[in-house]
Amino acid sequence: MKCDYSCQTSEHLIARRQFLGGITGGFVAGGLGALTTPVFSEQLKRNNMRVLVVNLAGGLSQLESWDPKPKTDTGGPFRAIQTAVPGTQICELLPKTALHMDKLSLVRSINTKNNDHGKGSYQMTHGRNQMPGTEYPHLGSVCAKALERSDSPLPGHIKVPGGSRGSDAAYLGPKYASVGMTGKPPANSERASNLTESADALRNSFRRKVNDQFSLQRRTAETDVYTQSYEQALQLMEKRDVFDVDKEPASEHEKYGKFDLGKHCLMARRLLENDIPFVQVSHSNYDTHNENFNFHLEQLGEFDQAFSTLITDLRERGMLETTLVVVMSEFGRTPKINARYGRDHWGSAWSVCLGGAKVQPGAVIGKTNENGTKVIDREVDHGHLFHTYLSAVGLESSDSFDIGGREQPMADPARGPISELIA
Amino acid sequence: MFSIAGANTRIVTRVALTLTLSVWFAFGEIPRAAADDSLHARIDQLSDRAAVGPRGAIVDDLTFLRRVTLDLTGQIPSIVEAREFLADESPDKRTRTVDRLMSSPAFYRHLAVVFDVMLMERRGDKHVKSVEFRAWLQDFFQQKRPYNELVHSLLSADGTDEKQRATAAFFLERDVEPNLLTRDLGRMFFGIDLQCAQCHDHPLIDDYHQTDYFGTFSFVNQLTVFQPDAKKPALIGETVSGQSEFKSVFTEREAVTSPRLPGDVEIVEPVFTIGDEYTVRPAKTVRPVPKFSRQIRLAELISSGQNPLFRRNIVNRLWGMMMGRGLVHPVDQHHSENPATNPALLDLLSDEFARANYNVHSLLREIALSQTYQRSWQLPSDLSPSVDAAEKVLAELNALITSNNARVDEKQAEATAALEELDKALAEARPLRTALQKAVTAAQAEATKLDTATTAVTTHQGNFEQKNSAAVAVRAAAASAQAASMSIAGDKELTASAKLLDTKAVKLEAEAAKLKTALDASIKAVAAAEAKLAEANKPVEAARAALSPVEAKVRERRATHVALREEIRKTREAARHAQRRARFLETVVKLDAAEKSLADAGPQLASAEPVSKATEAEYVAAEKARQTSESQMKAAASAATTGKAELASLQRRLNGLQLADKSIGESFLAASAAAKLLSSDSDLSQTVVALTDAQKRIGGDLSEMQTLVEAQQVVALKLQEQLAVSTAAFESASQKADELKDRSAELAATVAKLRGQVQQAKLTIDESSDKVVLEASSHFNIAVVEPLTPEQLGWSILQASGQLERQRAAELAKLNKAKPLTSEEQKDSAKTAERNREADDAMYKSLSANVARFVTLFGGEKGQPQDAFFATVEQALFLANGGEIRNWLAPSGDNLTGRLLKLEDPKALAEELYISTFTRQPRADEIVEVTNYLEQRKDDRSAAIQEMAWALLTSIEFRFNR
Repeated sequence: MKCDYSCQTSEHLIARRQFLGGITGGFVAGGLGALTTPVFSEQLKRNNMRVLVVNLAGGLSQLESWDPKPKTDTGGPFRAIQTAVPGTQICELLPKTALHMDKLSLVRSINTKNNDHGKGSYQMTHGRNQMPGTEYPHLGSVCAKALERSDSPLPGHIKVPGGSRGSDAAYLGPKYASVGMTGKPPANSERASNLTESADALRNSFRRKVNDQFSLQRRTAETDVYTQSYEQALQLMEKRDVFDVDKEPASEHEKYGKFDLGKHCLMARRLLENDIPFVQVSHSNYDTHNENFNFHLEQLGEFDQAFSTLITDLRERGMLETTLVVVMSEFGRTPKINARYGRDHWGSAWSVCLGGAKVQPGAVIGKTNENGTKVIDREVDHGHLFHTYLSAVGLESSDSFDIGGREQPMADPARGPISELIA
Repeated sequence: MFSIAGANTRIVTRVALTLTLSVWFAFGEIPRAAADDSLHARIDQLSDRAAVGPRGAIVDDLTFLRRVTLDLTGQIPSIVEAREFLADESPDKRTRTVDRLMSSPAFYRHLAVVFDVMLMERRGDKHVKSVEFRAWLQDFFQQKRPYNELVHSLLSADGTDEKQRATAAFFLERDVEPNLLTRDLGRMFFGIDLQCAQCHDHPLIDDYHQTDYFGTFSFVNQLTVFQPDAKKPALIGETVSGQSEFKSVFTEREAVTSPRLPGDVEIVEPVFTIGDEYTVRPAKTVRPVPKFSRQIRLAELISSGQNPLFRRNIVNRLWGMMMGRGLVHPVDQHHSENPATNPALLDLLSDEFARANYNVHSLLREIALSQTYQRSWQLPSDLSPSVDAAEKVLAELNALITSNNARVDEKQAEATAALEELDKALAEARPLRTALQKAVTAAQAEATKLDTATTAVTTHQGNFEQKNSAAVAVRAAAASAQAASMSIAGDKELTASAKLLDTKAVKLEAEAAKLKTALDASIKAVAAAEAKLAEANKPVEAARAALSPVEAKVRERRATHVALREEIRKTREAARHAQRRARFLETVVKLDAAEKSLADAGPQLASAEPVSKATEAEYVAAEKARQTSESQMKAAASAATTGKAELASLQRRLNGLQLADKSIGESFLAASAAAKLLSSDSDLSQTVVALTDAQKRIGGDLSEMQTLVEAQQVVALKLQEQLAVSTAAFESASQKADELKDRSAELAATVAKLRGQVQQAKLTIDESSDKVVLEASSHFNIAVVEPLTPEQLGWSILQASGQLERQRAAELAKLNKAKPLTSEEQKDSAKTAERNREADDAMYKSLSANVARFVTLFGGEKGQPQDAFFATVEQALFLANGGEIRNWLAPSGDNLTGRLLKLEDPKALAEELYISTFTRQPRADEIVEVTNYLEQRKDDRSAAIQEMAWALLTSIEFRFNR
């Protein structure tokens, strides 16, 4: 029997129309960047949405961050401090972040039932359990596609830091796979030295004329997308600087901190400002089986500076309303402190911090017990969180993509968003 | 603004095509195709029979050549091939071209690529190299072996045959992962994607059931990658396994199934006593071989071709290879909600493919020779409208939809009941199965013990034999030493040695005897273990005997249920197919009506608009005239009034004067009479004199006034007359203006109405023409315009730029230099052909790396369907700025730009350019564009040529196959 939770989407139809309008506009005006297209207001809202994931790789301890349990057998040496939200306390290792808690929210009742790095990382970034024989797209690929800016030449899914293009888009296709940021502009984005700008313009206008002739006879969404890609390539050639973080003044580098995470967060801001739908920044390593407390003291010091600066900037630049920020890990760490002053892998009761876009600010969802060994209220897992992220950027998370005539649900159909967290 | 401009572009297109629509609909009886008609003729007959909506004409020669060369060899034709084809005037040149292409090495290479991508989806190189798999495929097709043999080879492979190692790719490159195999067996060989049916019945597709998933799963669940030594190649190992249990996460329904192919019945496996299931029993470093292999059974069942889904899947994919789109699209979504656009044709192809012994070549050839394949990609311009039939056809289709839907509901109820019956039997079997499982587990434990005991015998046997042979040898030595000491009596040393040896022999013999005892014991232990196993097999047999009739019941009920579902599927499929055609037909009718409405309203509007405008202008002028005449009339009225008033005033003064005159006259008469009576009165006489004077004076005034009055009377009269005239003028102007006002309003209303009609028609045309083009190409009324695959694009760019020919020549020269042909050999056409083939192979190898670059950029993700089109900025940047394309387009020798540079005449240059890239002659306007471009860039002719060549290679027309 058919279930009705997954409804048909008209995404591709809208995109088609948008392209038709856009391309004609480009040709009529004869110039680039003239792709001002009338769009539906709902889509316009969504088009401004972005997602920033700060991935604290290895597994951040919830006890030394979002869900402190001082003065208990599991609490460790650090205190809990007041935040900008009366009644909400976080660990003293995050004093600057604490001042921003009125803009952010916490989910303290995550149970992913998994203690494996690889599986946990997959869960959190794909919203599902890894299934043998099946590949699902990464959150970044889903966002890059669902929040695609048809008029933007920039890639939609960026990892900072990173190498070449990833293969994490599954059925969405390589167009939405992650692009690792090396700090260098993309390959082939520079005009060949023996081709002048005017000669390039001439050959491109000849190409457009040839295409116009063909389009008069047969025009499809595919032919439109193809011609559009050349216009985007020309735009990208003009925007090569976006990828160069050294174009930021020294004072900005100072503000974010002169360490990798600082630089990466600054790079993330630059990318988000250029309207890239999905950026993921990684900070490692939080896998603290030994010396958990010293490591967190050190690592979170960097995180607190870079992250709080980023939130301040997003806020001041009016971008927080359209940028979902998520701080996640593959899992949390055991409440039990081991013999090496470490904490081990723990997926049974841990936390994620998120804010911006349509996330209700200042909220705390769910609860763990007194010493953090168990979720006692509003238990959720990676599936719920994934739906929540998509809902927070204005998507209907129960929608499906239409991929070459095959329907693919955007998120796990057996889950739904944490709706009370969405404003 | 822009979208309106878009709409206009569309309208222009349609007007330019002067499209008229036709609805062909041959329902009823058409004489059945004669059995001896060729398959391509029958393809066309079925296409004709089912055709709805506009159909394209047969394409011109060059378009045909480009299409068929791309489809059969994976690259565009060379300019030489194009010119030869044009020059060829024989009527059967298309057939000959198909045959020529299908005997070329490029055809087999292309076929190998198509099948590799189809079956492996760009997986490879983990255990089996992709190039080796492709080489195997190419060789397979070159031997013209049938498709079902290919499938059998792939599915029965275990990797042990070194020569057939490539065939293990299908399993090994998927890591023999049973879920992945289940999904891909369904997709690649049955055209159904059961992925979503793993945890529950498919949420969106009624035909995909969890039980189908686990039926297939049971065939492969017991397979593993067997590779105890990482240095040696991986093999596929198989163990013996039971039924698969599953539970829906939605409905919680629990069930079990034996291996079963989709739409088929469960297989009945041979029963072995426990311990006797294997030819080679599993052990740590031994690849197990069961007596009954489910893998082999799977290979046999699938490749037997008995399963209709199997046949439909492959012919649909081959159809898609040629036509750019499957009759069922996407190719792995065969289900009743997604019927084939021509189910009868799909059935014909399936049956004929099986009848022709799964011969891929002949099917591709027949498709290429059909008119259906050779249709134009453009909508036709010369079909006469016959939408009249639509109403009747729609009524028939709708009746079919209604009756089939009702039938589906009816059968659905039966299927639900059948499922309940099945579940009852399953419930009955459950405790029996559990009991059997328990007995089997116990027996298997005994079998394992037996394995251990058997291994022990081998060990003991070895130990005993070793010890025993040592004892025998020492005993022999002792015996000869003894003999020696006897013959040389008294030799103490010799005697001592003999004794020592004897002692040693005795010791060894004792040890050997001990080992013999142990060996005997272990042999006994084996016998005991065997007995125990036999004992343990008794409850197994009993449990099997108890379960067997219930299982037969399960099988029977499952078969009933599956048969009902199949019936539902077919009935629903027919309904959905009718629905789809009905929607298409409705869209065609709608489009036709809109076209007619536009054709009707357009010219009307065109002629009404100027009239309306002129009338409007006239009205405006008349209104102005009315106003002018009104003000003139008003001025005349006021002048007349003034004239009258003046006359009245003069009249009044005249009256006064007359009155005075009369009074003076009377007083004069009275005074005169009095003076006569009183003649002496001097005063009186003086008065009379004065009065006489006054009378005289007034008389003068009076006459003057009278003149004035008379003059004014004339004036006033004239003014009155003028007033009358201008009043009349006003009235007439006013009437005219009123009339024009009404007419103008009437015309404006007509224009507005027509404009609305035109706008509505354009909107409808814009919306439905997209749909009609899409449906017309889905129904193969016109050709699908589909993107080239990454390989087709790469090879075609190499072909167009002349790079391919250059490389071929270079390789030929290299070969001729390394191994020169003798003058005799040069005359032998077989030898030269062989040499050319070698050069061709070498060319293919050396350019493959370039094509691989295209695959990286233009291909889909590994292990994902490769048919979804996408265009990225990286692709465009690669083609725009990448070194490869720039090098290939740099003029050199006889490559494309090199040839163009030598052509002085712009027309000749345009021809060479367009035939090389688009495989067609340039149109007149394109020759003009080329000429202009050359003119504009006459400072750098070489650059101009490269720029134009680049523009054509990066255009839609090159990127897509039409």
